[in-house]
Amino acid sequence: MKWSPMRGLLALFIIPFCFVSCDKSEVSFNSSDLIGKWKENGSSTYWRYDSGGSGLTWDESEDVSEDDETTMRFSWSLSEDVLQHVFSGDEIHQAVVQDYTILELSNTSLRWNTGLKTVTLSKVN
Amino acid sequence: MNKWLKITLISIGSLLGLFFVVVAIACWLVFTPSRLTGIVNSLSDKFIDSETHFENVDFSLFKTFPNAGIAVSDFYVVNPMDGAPSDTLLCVEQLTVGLNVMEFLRHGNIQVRQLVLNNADANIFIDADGNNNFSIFPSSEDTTEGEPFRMPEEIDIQSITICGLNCSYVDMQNVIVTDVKDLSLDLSFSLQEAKTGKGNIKLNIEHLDFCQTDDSLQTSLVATLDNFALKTSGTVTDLSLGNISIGISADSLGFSQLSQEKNELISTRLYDFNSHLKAKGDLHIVDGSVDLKLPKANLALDGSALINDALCSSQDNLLELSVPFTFNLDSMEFSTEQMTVALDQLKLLLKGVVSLSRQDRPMQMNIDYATNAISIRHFLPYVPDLYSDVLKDLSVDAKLSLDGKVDGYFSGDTLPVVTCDIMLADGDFSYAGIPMDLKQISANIAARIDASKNGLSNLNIKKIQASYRHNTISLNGRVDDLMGKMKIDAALKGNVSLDEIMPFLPDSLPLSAKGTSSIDIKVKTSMDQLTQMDIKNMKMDGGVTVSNLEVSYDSISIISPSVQVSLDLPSQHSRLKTPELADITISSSHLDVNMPASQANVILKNAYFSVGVSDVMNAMSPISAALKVSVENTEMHYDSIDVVVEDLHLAGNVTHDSAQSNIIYQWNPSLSVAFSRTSLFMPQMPEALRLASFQFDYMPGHCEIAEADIHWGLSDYHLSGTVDNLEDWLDQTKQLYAKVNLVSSYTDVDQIMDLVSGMGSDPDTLEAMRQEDHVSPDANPFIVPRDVNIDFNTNIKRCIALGNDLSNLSGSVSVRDGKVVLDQVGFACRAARMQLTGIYKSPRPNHLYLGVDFHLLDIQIDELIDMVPFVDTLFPMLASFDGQGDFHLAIETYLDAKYQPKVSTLLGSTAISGKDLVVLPGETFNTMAKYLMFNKKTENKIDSLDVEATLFRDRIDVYPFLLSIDKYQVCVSGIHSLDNACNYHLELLRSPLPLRLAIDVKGSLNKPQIGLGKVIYNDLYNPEKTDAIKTRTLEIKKMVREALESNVK
Repeated sequence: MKWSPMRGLLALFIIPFCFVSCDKSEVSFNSSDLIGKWKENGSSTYWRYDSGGSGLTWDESEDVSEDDETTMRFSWSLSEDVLQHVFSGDEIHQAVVQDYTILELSNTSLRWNTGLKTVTLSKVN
Repeated sequence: MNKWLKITLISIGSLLGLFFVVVAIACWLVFTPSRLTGIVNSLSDKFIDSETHFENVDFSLFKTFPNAGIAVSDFYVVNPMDGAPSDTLLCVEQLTVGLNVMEFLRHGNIQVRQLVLNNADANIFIDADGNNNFSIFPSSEDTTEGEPFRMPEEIDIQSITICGLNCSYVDMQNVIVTDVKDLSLDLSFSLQEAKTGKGNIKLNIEHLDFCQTDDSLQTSLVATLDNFALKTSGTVTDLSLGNISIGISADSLGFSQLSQEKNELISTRLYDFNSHLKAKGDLHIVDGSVDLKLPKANLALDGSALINDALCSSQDNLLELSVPFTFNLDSMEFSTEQMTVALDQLKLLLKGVVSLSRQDRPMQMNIDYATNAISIRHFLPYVPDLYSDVLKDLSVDAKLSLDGKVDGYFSGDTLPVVTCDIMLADGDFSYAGIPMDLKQISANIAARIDASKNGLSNLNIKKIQASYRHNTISLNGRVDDLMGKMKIDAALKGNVSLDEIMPFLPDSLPLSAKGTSSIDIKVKTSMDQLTQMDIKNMKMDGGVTVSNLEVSYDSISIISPSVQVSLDLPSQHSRLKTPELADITISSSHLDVNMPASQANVILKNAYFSVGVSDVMNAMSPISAALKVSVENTEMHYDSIDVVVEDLHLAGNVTHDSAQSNIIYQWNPSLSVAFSRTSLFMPQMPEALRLASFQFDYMPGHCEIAEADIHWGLSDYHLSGTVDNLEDWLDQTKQLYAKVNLVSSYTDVDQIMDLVSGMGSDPDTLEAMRQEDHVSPDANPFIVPRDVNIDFNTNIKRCIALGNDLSNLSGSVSVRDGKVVLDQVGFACRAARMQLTGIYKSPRPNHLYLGVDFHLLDIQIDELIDMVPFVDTLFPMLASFDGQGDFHLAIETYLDAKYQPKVSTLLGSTAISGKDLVVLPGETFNTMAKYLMFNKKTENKIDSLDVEATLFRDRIDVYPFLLSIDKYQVCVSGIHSLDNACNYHLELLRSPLPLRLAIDVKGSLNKPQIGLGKVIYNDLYNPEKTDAIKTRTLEIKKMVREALESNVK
């Protein structure tokens, strides 16, 4: 396509609008709904949120159970719609932060977006 | 005869007859019995203090012709005493004394020529104070000394006859009681001029009892005699003896010693005893002979007969004695040329001289003696019944002979020395309880007995030898101070087949042995040391050499062509704190030990074992031993493990402590061990483990490795350090601690992991864990040894680990109770410097923990991706760069049995820094450059790169980082997953264009969907304008990098 002055003026007009967006809406959830054990739908991955900000996660398909001493532990915090998990290695003690955006949270269901995918979880107890 | 002579003789005869008739008439008229009896009774009252009575005293010329006789009948003397068995001292029925009338008429001497005593009883008594009942004559008031007794030159006793004398003798002072029944004596003796004479004595005693009690010993000595007869006769002519004859016989002669309870301790009785002595000679030399015959006798000890009936009835005479002798009265020497003593078939011949004591010398004896060769078997029936049980199952025979000498003085404490050569030949021995029939027993023993005070007695055992089948054993030596300490110096030699001594061992003992042993042992000891088991002061050296040895005990067998066992007592070494009691050494050129039950076999070549033991008999001192072992070559095979050890040397000691329960602590060994050129073959080891040298010192709880030079495949290990609690760890009561310096030019870590996997855990337990954890059979996860704490200080030039070739590796590697820790181990890999902190745990075979803190410095990015392919997964965009950078990774995850990560447990962080990188041309870069409106002439060089990312499960979060390319600066951040899903954002922060452009990269990394995106990082690196979320992002980014870089040394 051949570049013309008109097209350039049109681009100068349109492009700034490309970078204009609405502010993110402020959504918050009740963290007490989070307390309990959740299972990711369609997988064998579990998350358990305990009051006090600690939690466990494990995948039974990889021979790890809730009672296993090696089950991965984390601390969590819920700020507006961002559920932050802070993991620390057992021996290496490297810190890993995982922020998930809560899309839905009720007493029985939970849905979050990891940045790559949206995951739905159900409370199992 | 002429007539006158006849008339003269008739006249003289008539005158003599008339004289005797006149004398007889005068005696009959003057010396009437009544008158004489009265005179005697009145005189007895005057001269005898005791009561006496003479019933009748008569004078006769005819009864005792030609002597004048005085006959007394029925007289008695009474002298009562307290305690005496009778108040009558003497009671005589008839006593006649014949006197020499002519001697009385010529010289006034009263010469008794005849004495006849018939039927008399005497009771002699001495009380406890020494008073007696026979001192009946009043004491003389004449104090003048009489002339000393002098043997008269003329003696003429025509006849002394005693018949029917009964005598009782009781001596309360010496506690002697003697009773003689019916003693008769007939004696005649004459001597002229003190050199010519003759005599006869006949003495008979029907019965005699004698008893003496020794209050101090509380025993009594009792003797009895029945029908004893003594008959002697002889003549002396001009001081020359002519046919002196003495005969002694008795029906029974007994002696016994009684206890206080009147039990017979010792008793002997000789029956039909008969002896006879004949002699002739002069006052200088007397030749004669003594013969004795004893047909029967009894001898009992504590009531047990020592002479049994078989011995008594063996021959006509139990004992015969014949002693031809010469007695020199001048030198007082008694000599015999052939004295014989016969006891059954035993003949004892003696010859020699006995010199009686004189003022100038003590009694001396010089006698040679010898016996005939007798058969011991012949004498076995004569063994007393008391010991017959011993003989019941015994069969023994030998020809025994004695030959010796008795030589020396009897003087005070000095006694003659007795020497004896004891010869034993053709002997055999068997006993039901001993499964061995000894044959060809022979002995040659020289004994010297000196019973004198301070005398030395000894035995010289020239040889004692016996055989059993093909076995022979011999003993020689000396026993000195035989009567005292019995000092023994002996040598035992022999050849014994081991299989033939097996029957001696209990059937319950599962031991069998074959081989020929050659014994050569020398012993120096004493009887006290033997009885008191005073081994400490014994001396013993020698040994046993066993050829063609085959021993099996239970399921263990030992085979050797030759084994030497030697003993040295006391030990010549001083390797212990306390004196060494004995040194035992065992050596063999070849020992083959088989344990089929354990599938074990050990072959030792040129082996030497030395054990020096302490005084094991001293209960106050703990048992300790010094050990020394050297084996030139050892081959061990256990199950499927083969070990070859050369030049094994072990030295040290052990001390026993019975208070300990663990056997190691009970013996408390302190050892120095060294060996070289050792090879270990195990099926689980693809290559043999070779030890060029190994030296360590061991004591309970602590092992110090001085040097260990190990080669395994291409790997080599030079170890030194300490190992603690080894035995408690084996006992599963404590953890093992070790600090080891490891120097290696090449180390194959994978090889080591395979070797030590599961060490310390029971194989069955491991297998149970595998099954419980559903581990597939082809998986062989490394199980970290349990209860083990080992610190390796490593210095490895080159290392292969998990397929990686590393070099100059140094640092600490620790194994801590199920956890392996590589603590900041530094090494170089290809062109990079590396540092690794790694942690590996194996809680379950199918759940293995791996934590890594890994730093690669100054590494080419392509090398990094090649070396750690996982980096490409973490940072897919990194493959687009070329250049050198630093890489930091902290990650932990659990692995399955095949070392595959369990993604749900992945957790990590990583950072990459680089400078002057070049962006490699590619489709993705070109697309992004197009969207970001890069100038085509833009140089694809990046000044710096600092990327931080975290890993959680399958998700990688790449925190915002800046890329400066030419005149452009781009901020990149995003997320991607291990399955290549991505959501990246690139934002142009600086460019020649007056635009702020951003693009999003989504979808699959393989085929990303690239489109323009929202500008979000305009104020990220401007602190004044950034918001809270962005600040948090920067803090996390900083925290990740600092945490990673802080571990770099």
